[in-house]
Amino acid sequence: MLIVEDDSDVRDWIAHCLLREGHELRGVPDGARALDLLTEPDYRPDLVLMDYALPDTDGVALLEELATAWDGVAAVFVTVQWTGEIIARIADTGHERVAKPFDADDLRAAVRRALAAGSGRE
Amino acid sequence: MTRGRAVDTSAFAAYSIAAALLGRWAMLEGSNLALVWPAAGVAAAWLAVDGWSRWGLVDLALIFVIVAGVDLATGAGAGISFGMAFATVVQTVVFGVLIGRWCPGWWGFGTEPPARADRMRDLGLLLAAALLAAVASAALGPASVVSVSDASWEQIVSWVLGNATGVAAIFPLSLTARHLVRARDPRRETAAVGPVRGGRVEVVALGAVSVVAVWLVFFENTDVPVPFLALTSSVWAGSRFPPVIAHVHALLLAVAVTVATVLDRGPFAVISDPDGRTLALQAYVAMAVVLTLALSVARSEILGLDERLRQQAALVTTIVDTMADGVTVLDGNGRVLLRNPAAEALAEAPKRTTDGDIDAATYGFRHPDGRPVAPEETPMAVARAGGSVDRQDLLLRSATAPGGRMLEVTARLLPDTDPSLVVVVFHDVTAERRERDELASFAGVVAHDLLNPLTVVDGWSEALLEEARAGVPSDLDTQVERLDRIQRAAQRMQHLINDLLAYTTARDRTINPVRVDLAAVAQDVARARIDANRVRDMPEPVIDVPPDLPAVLAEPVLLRQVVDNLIGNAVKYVAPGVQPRIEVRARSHGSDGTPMVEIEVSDNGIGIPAGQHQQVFDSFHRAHQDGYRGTGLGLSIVKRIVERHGGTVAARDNDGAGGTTMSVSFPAAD
Repeated sequence: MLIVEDDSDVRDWIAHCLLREGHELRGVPDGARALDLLTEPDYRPDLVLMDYALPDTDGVALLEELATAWDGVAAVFVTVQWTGEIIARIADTGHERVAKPFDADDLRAAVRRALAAGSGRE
Repeated sequence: MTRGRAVDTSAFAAYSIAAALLGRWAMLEGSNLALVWPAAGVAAAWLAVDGWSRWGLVDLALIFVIVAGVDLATGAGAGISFGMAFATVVQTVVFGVLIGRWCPGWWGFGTEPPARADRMRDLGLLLAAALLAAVASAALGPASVVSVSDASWEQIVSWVLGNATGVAAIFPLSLTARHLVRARDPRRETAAVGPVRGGRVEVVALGAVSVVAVWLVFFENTDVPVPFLALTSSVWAGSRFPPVIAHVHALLLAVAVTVATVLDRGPFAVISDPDGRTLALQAYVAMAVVLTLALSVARSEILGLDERLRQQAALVTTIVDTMADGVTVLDGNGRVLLRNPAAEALAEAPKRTTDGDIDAATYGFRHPDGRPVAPEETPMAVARAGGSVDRQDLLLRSATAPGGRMLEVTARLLPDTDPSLVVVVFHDVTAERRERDELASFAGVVAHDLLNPLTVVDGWSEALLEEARAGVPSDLDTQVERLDRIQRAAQRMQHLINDLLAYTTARDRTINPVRVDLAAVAQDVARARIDANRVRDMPEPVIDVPPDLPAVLAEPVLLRQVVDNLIGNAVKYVAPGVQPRIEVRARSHGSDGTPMVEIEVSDNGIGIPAGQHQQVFDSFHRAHQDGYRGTGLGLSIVKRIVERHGGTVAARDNDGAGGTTMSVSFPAAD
């Protein structure tokens, strides 16, 4: 599972929530470093959990690029519930969205739903 | 009775006696009717001053006595005398009822100035009231004549014409004359007469030509029936002079023609039947009066409309020229007919290609997203084709605004104009839209930057709580680490809120610049920073502040904020473990007339990534995301404060030490 979040404290908190579920995690702070992972031949996460507002890109654009290599990868967007435009853009992708600040249970539930939907797609 | 009223009454009484005597004199041998009857007009004017009051009744009684008295004194029989007097009273009352209803400004105005006959409508109503009043009295006047002698239809028509003309010619002129006599103020006289374009010379010329024409046609000539030749002078008087002068001209012509006819001279003298002669003369006089008045009133009305149009045009021009929105009027071919200064400023001389076409690369409309607007899509083209454009956002690029100005454009085709006209209004919303976008992005960033630490606080405190409730707490180190995270997140929120407040202060705080000792401020900030690092067990920065820095003119609190932000950044953005080395320098220079002090803060820090030296001053721009906490507001606060003091900001690489040199300028105090 890949976590893309620029705020290291938030990234750590997400990791803390998901480690208890037994997931194997990697975390990167921005889009560029997430795309670097595409060059690792053996790496393919089941799920990408990303902040919508990243320093160098936005989550939806990043997912589109990641999905070129990781076709059908499940995704969860973590957002500040801000504009309707962003919410609609995420809704159009059909992926899960979790609004900050979030509960550990909400996050885990969203991840479970995303993984279930992802396996359903495959 | 007041003195004014006594003067008025005696003047009108004398005037009535004179008019009645003139009427009685102007009678042809063998006819019972006067050639002209000015007493009818005098009576109407007399009563008009008081209107329907008890004084009006006194006026009517006097009119009756005067007319009857003059008739009796000049040898008329009692029947005719009283009949004529009664008919005059009836005519005056009927005229008063009609004119008081149709033109209230002419009735019962007392000491106010009477209305002026300078509209065709008023003239038409005056003539109609005079004619109807004469017809009403004809039933009495001619009846009394008929009772003592043979009467004919010619006599009845003569009565009506003579009396109606008497009212039309005498009534308004008498009122104006009374007003001129009462008002000794030359300005009021001018207002009563109206503008004379040709001046006094033309008045004299008109008089001379009229005298010669009347003399030749009515006194020298008795054979050729050409009385209408004298009307050429009436046309001149009517088409070139205000109603009062034209009116006097008509009256004098009427008097001259009447005198000639009474003296058996002129073209009317050849008519042997006295009643026929009377009728011909009265018809001529009526014609001359109506012709002169109609021309003159029409001229006066046109001049009045012209003046109003000019005033309105001046008003509209002033409004259009002073409004902040751009207004352009184009004809059907797209040719600009009008462009107000605001539109001029927006349009700003487009660059043209060698063919004379507007260079579309540097000038023209674009959609807000940057797409060019096709020629048939421009607001002007849409409006010309009959469509309407309502507050459409368009980007206009020009030489002075290569980035474009955002305009809210409204365009309309004016209906029923030939050629068709298109009005386009441009409202410049560049600043408004930029502020709106900035506010939206500002709010978005604030929400993001506050909710991230809030997520951390919420999340880690939830984890701690869960463990405590379950009775299985983590080890002490883990707990401390989590509490530490929570505290750091709270501090981040506090910093952001502090910076937001500083940002607002930098924008809104009133600036009262005073002389500030820059060296003292910089040394104070430097000491505080060194102490802070010492407390946190971080490498103590070396901050060099020379004691002889020039003084600046600034708001002390804001200057301190600038120096603190710059030195604070220099201390913060160093590679881990490196001791910050900072130099503060300042020098005066007097470019562009205002002496300024350029302050430079150089460091040995990690520098600014290439290409971001401008952007670091934007709100929420953070050049270094990893490992360095910041709100992204520090340098935008610096920029705001400096610009509000009239200075500039810049960032460049510090070539000597590999860090950054920030430079800001403030007005010099010395």
